[in-house]
Amino acid sequence: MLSKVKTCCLTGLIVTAIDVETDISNGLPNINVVGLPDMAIKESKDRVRAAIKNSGLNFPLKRITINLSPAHTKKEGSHFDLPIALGILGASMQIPLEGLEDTLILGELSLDGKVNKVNGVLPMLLEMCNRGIKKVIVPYENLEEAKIVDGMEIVPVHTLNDIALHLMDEKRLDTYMEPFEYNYEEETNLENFRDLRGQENLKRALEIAASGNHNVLTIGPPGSGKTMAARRLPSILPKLTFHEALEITKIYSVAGLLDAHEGLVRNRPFRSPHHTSSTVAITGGGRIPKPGEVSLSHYGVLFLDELPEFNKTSLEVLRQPLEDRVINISRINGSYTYPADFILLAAMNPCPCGYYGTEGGQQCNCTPYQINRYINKISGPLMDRIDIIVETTAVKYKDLTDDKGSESSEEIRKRVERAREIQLERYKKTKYLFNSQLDGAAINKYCTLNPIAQQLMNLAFNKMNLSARGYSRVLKVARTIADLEGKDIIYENHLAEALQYRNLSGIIS
Amino acid sequence: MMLKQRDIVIWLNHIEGIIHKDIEHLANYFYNIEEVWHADEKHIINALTDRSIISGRIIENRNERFVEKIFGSLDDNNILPLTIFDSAYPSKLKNIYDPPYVIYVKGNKIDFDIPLISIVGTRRATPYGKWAAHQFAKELAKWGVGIISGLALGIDTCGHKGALDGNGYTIGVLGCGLGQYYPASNRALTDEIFKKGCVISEYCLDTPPLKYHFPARNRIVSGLSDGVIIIEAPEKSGALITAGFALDQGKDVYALPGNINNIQSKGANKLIRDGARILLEVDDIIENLKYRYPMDKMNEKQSIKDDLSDLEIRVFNVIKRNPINIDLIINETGIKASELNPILTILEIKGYINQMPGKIFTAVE
Repeated sequence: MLSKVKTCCLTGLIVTAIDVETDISNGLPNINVVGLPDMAIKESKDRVRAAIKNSGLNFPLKRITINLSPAHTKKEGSHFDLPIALGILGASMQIPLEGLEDTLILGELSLDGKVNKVNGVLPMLLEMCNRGIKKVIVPYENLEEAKIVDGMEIVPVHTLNDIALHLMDEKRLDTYMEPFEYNYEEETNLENFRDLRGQENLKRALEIAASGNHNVLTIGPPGSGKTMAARRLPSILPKLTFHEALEITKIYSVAGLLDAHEGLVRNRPFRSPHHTSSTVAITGGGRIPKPGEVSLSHYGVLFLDELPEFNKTSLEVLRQPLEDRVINISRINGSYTYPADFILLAAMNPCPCGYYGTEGGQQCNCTPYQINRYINKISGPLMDRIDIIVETTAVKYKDLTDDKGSESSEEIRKRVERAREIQLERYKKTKYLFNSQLDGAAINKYCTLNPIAQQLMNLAFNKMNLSARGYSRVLKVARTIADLEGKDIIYENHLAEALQYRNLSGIIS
Repeated sequence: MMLKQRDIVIWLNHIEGIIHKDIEHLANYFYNIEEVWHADEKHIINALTDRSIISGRIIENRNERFVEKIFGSLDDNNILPLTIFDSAYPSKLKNIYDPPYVIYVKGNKIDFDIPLISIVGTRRATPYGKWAAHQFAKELAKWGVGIISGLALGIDTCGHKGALDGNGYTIGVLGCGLGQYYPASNRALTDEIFKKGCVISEYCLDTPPLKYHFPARNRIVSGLSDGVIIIEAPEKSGALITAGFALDQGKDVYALPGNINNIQSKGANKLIRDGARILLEVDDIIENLKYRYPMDKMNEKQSIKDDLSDLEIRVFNVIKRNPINIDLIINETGIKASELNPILTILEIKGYINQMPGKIFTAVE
């Protein structure tokens, strides 16, 4: 007998529909999986045999051939267990397969017949739904994730036995098909700027960065609040739109990092890989490439603490995603593209010991050569992609006599959201979204200075040793500051403020 | 070929491995140093007892081809050799205990007769020291005082840069030959000094920067100058060697006071305790130079702060009290970061304040 059920597989974020064809014929008992399966699929025959047997069903002692069609694409993943099991049960006439022609089946089996959670459900369902598949059988643990997809009938299963009984019409399972309602519930325990005393300058810089999607470098001695402030950056970024949440969830689904109770990712990602992270951990990779840190921080923040301690190549690979907002990973199996649109927030000390420029207390004992070598680990091209540089110092608590308290993240976020709307409106018909993405001619077009600001710019060029690169960075930041105030052109105070967010004290030349 | 006294010492200076003392022994042994060229081998050997390798090399190199090669390469590199027999040889240097027989000079502007002050200090300078070196050099430049230093990293570099920023004259003294940039990272600065001042060395073209050259170099730094400023020096430092030379040579020694806990200021502070002049403002130096030179300030700074707004003056007054971090300015004045940053930029562009690492601002005198 022959049976045929539907499943699909993921390569990167690209979905391919797969037919699982099962043929049972007379011959020596044997089971064969063909159609370029990877190791996990080849092993599935042992899991399937045990799961069928332990579910009280009958594993046919015949010659079984399973073909994964189309046969020319390589397939990977453990979610083929359930379709293969159902295919065998169907072909051996133990369950009826009518009505399964248009049902997508995903699931991994335990030896006892339990259906386990699988990765990448959301991107697979979204794509297959577009292709006209309206019914899906998924592991129960993937239910929340699957619910996000509108217009699909979802059958969540706990065990192989459940689904067999369901198909035999003996004991129907609950099915779900409600339209998904996106309501943004903010996580209440997000760290808030309200709790951060002092560091007003750093807060302001982060507000500008959030508004214009600018990359930021903070330089300061240990204990000056760099990391504290960084962790609070997501709390002032605009709330996630449904589209953004979906994009992020897809990546987390593929990476297998999705929380079973959550379904949708509701907070902007904040990723802070340790400085010993390998290049592949940053970019994504492996034989079958998985998303790396740059993709996991999509629409969020990638925080690199102790920037110069990172491996040089790990830093240089950031150049492409910072430019194109996607990352291309090529491996022997093909080329994979993951989105990677993030704000880079880096933090570093001014010198290897950390105390260069600190007044009193700890003293710096680094040689000029050591400091140079430390600073030079960050290449010029990478620095070119960082618009805002802020320096911090450790401020003693008792020096902060001001009791009026700090502004909360919610208030700052309101301003950020307004500035972002202005930008989205202005760049509606262009390839840009935010000020930080402007280049070449677009800078001159959109960053108009008023006459006094123009004079100030000329002065700054001469007096502050502004380079040509520094010039365009300052203009972009000034544009964002003007947007925060809702002004069409850049006034002198906007430009003057932007000039402070360059490196002025010469730590980095 | 007729070799004059000056040619002989330049030639001797190019003998591999020769040191100042060797030339001195030769000069004392012979009635006239010109005689070395024709003298009997045994006299040269006698003159340089225990230095048979050197005397051997002198005898070996007594050929005209070698001398022509020396002068050819000096010409090719635009280097002017000045010997102690030349009238252009700096008179201040002539008066020290062991003046070099030859100094090699390279640069567009060579002038040793204007008031010259040397600024020296540690390579591991703190931001305070770097600022002070730059600031004093710049201020002195405005008075027409040339700045001498050793072109090393840290204080030396800042001293030279300050002089150049003040459109002044500066002299760099190297501890190696003029055929190389040392340290290599000061290449751009050295080129700048070639244009607006000069670089000198007592070593011939390709001499490497050997360890013992630097203390010797320091006697030239102090010897050429009318006074020496020690900006920052730990307890054991080349800058203190310079100060010692300056005392022996009868030059004024100024030391910048520093934090007593700062190891980089220990040497300078001890000099003050031991009687060096304390350096608080540029007038401390000008007052002393006035007895020897006519002193005129080149461009008087406008004194009234007409061009600042009330808010700007408020911020400036806070900074003037004490170097202060931006977050503390916000805390003290109550001005928001978004408003304070523009004010700081304006003050900086107008030259009232400077920015230091850690977003610390200091007022410019």
